Amino acid sequence: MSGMALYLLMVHTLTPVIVVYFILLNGAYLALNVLSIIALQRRSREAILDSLPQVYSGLEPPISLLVPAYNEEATIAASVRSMLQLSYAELEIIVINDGSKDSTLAVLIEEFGLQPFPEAYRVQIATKPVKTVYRSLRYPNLRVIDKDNGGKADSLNAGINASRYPLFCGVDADSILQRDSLQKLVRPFLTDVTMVATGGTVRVANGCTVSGGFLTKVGLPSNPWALFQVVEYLRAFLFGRLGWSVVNGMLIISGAFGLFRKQTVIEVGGYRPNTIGEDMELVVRMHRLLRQRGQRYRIEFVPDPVCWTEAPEDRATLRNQRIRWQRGLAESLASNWGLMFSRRGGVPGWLAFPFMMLFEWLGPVVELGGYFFMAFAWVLGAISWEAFGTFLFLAVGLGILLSASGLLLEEMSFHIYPRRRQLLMLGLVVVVENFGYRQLNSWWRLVGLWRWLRQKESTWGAMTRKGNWQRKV
Amino acid sequence: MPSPGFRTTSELWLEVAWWVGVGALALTMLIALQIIVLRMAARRRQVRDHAMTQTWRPVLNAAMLGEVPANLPRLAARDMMSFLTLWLHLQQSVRGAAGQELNTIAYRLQCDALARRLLARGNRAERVVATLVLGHMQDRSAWDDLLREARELDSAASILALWALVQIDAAQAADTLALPLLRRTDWPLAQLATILQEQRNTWEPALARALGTVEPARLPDALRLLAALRLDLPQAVLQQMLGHDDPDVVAAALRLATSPEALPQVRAHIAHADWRVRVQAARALGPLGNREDVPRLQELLADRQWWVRYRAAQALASLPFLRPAELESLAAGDRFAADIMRQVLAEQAAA
Repeated sequence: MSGMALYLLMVHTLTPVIVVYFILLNGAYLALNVLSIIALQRRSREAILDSLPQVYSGLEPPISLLVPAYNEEATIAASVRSMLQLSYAELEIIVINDGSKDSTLAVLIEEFGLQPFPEAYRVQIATKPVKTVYRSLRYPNLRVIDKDNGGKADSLNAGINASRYPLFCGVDADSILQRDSLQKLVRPFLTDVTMVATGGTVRVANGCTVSGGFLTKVGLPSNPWALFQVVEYLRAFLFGRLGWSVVNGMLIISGAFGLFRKQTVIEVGGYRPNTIGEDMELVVRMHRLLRQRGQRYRIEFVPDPVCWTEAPEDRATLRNQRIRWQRGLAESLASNWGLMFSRRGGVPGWLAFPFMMLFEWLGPVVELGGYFFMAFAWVLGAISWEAFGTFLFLAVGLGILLSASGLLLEEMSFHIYPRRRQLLMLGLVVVVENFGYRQLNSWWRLVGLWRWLRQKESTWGAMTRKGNWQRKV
Repeated sequence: MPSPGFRTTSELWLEVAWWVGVGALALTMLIALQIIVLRMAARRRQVRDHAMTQTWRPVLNAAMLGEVPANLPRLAARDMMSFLTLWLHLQQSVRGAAGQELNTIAYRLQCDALARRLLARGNRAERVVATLVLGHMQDRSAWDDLLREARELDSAASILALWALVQIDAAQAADTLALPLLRRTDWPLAQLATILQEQRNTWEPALARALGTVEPARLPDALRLLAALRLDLPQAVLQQMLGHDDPDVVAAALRLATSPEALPQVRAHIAHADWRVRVQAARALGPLGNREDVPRLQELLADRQWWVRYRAAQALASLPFLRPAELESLAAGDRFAADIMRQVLAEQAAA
């Protein structure tokens, strides 16, 4: 067989493979979308209960809020102050200063009147040494753990060790929480004794107005990078996670805001240190080990927008974030292979894990490979312009459909962008993001995969924060 | 090389790709249309709700102050659900006479009849609203329908029906529902405690009776509910629970051990094999214990479980006859004991 014939054979074999992959990928997401619509319809039946007077007794299970902090001197005081105002009956806040090199600890000591406290610290999960435990003189429910640097996972483990309550909630120091966010996140624990974790929806805070540490007015960012991420977050949370939650197959709970049953987390060994995606790794490991034991459990997603976060507004920071996320995903899957197609794997092992492998982990390889391959094939004359155009039409058309369905879910459920101009802008972003932004994202994810393969040591993610919401306080 | 176009092997796939793309485009258009329709409907609903609130809030506010107007504004049937939601929020924020005045308005608008109709034939949202309305209006004629609703599997709707029944007749609700209540696993303890809090004395005998017939597996939650309501169990029943084989039951019963008669059994559980029992025994010994119990609690200061050490230290620190220096010397022999005692004393000093 001549070289040209071999080349044409390859083109004709790979073309359908790439087309089928794109159809399968988007078809799978659309299936999740359908599940999400069902869940949101069910929730809309519950929504009437939200609009009615609530039966809160103050007897809900107490919660420990764990706030790992590394070099957060600029934002930590405002964040903790807003957390102290959360509406929940019994709550303790534990800030874990992970050997910050700036004056994070000094700011906390000054702002909250911290004093060293002779805490009988118990080690349930091994961590880097704890230097001092502080307790606030002004706020009895606030403690600060000052420890040697060990990363975010290590900090969370130290927080778990110091926590008193049966449920703990990991929160990023820069998250903006809704005042009733814990009440919403704890609800599944009240009605289901097998509940081991719940995750909340995270939304983009850029462009919103924040006052006193709470979000008071929802707006859209003017920065295009942040604007693209608004639509991305809608897709990721409203049908990515909600869809999987319906079938108890959710593999990710955002580290920005997730509630866990402490005993279960301790039993599976806590957060794995030296990982980038410690939030996802823990959830995948919980699925793997609880299924191995044959223990009944549920991990649920709460679709209400309960947590807001500042999205990167420049290309370099966004690139770094996406590279880290992809490395985190790869680490989480690679360290829990045992879940895939395991005898007791159920939905997480037989559907969610393979889905993540095929479409999220390998996704950037096939997606970018597909684009490059088709483009080369067209340039070299192996396929016609019509064929190449058809491929682009399919890829972009399905991308727009997915983003549009995310927007529909938002409109059906929470309707948090009520102005006509906001809707038009989001509609525009739904289309425009498919011409460059998504492909760029795939490239960054590919870089993330490459770095994971090189196994570079993980550290705290450096994030350039504008902190506009802080200045509006 | 001439452009080959769609070759035979990939032609079909590309045709499939084309039609999938066309389908995606058509679906996107449909979604856009649906978003516009949803947005228009939401806007209309918002305008209507706003108009209703503007009209009725002043009337209801005046009614709460005892100034019920002779002529009420017209209330369109389609605004009824929004009106009832507003009415419920106001009901929830008031007590006594103001609540009765709101009921007067509701009776004049024949909300009771409407709520009974919705409870019998409405969708879930309507049934939930109707349940709450009938509870606040203490509408006895809806008793059977509410009882049926309380027995439904729907957790949220059924617990609200229980609430309504308690509002209408707490004693009858206790007689009818004490046992089913203890048997249900889906009603959150926290919400049950809130609902029963004001009628705890009325419910006390019925719950104590039901405790005798409920399945053993439900006993721990039942006892936790009684503890949340701060109810006193008859001594005979409490002793039976404290002598139960299941450590979960014993631990839950120890939360109710507040009288001196229970002291011997509390002491007996200090060395229980299950640490959850030891924790509760140590906690109970705080208010109940005397000098005799100091060595027992001192032993628990060196327990292998942090929570047992902590509760034992708290119990010792709460004994009125021990001073901080004595407490420190009690814990001096063991590092864990000394650490936990230092923490508890620091907490006491900071409180």
